[in-house]
Amino acid sequence: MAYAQVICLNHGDRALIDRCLQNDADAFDEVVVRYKNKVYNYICRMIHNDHEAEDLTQEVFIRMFTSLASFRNQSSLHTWIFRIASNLCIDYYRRNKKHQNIAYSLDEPIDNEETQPSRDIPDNKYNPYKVFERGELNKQIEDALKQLPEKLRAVIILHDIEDLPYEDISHIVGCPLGTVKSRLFNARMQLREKLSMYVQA
Amino acid sequence: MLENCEKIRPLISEYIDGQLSDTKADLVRRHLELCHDCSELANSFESNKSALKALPARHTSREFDARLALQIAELRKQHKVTWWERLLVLAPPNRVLRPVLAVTVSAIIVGSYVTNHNTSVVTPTNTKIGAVSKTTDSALIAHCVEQHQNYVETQPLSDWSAQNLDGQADAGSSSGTNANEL
Repeated sequence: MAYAQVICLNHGDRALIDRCLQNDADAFDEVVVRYKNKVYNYICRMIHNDHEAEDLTQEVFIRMFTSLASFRNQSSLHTWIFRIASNLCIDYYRRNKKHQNIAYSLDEPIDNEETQPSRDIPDNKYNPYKVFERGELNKQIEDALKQLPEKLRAVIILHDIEDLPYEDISHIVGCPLGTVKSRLFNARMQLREKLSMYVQA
Repeated sequence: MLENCEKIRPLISEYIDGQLSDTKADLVRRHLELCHDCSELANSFESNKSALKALPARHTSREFDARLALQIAELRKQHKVTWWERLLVLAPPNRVLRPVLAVTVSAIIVGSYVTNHNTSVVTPTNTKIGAVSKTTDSALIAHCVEQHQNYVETQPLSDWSAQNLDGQADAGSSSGTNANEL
């Protein structure tokens, strides 16, 4: 979505929020319809757990509903929503921190293939074929995203996938504009390294 | 690799996003025309950006949508908009004006309370002279007049001309001295 479309969405969002503040139930339902997939998309790619992502998406809208009266149009609607989503992702990481550094032994038998990660380690040294089916390419891109540090992953998802401008990303993740730019650069450098075998320049 | 690659490279990300000023964008563009390595870097950034953009969007399930709708309906039942929240909707968002409005409203409320407590209710049994506001003066005067009239009707004054100086009634009041002649 181009930036011009983002601006149009902002104007429509403002009218929607005004109606929500007047306790218009239909207006809030419209906000949910407009944003639920975007929020779910973002959270899924941040935490890599579809089931938990649904719970967190629900929590985003519950928090929105209960704190609507305190939203004073100081930021745009999508900035506010993604800010809530971003904070919930951070809380999720903190709760699950102890699980993130588990090392899996190659010799240990696998109990359940569905719940435990695959132990196949792809050989990236040489691949003569640079053309992949779209599904396989998407899988590689998703895996590369997953391997990025959380702070870099957040900015590249918000910018390249959700089409948000630098300023909004700065408000969402709570860091200066310069930090957003450098994180975006570093994220792209790391993705370039991981996807060089799969994505033709 | 050219000499100023180290300065140009950090700008390539902003360049492909169209976030550089015209001067800097021109600088980067001219460098990319000459530098193969930086040009390759810019192209890979563009390709990966397009690939990310092309990722299929994920959608919530119908079960999730139904669950969320139920949850919000439940919240609506529990959440009643307080008078304060309605006031907040009308209040200006400005950080300076909002406290000013709060102070003004508070002053009006306190002022009304103080004004009302300075006024005594005027009743036939507890009329207090000197402790009333100006707005009740006319009511007080009217009440005093009414009280006096009632008193006069029930307690008529004796004809003072018929009384001697020591207060005793004169026996021959018909032949007595005419008061006017005194």
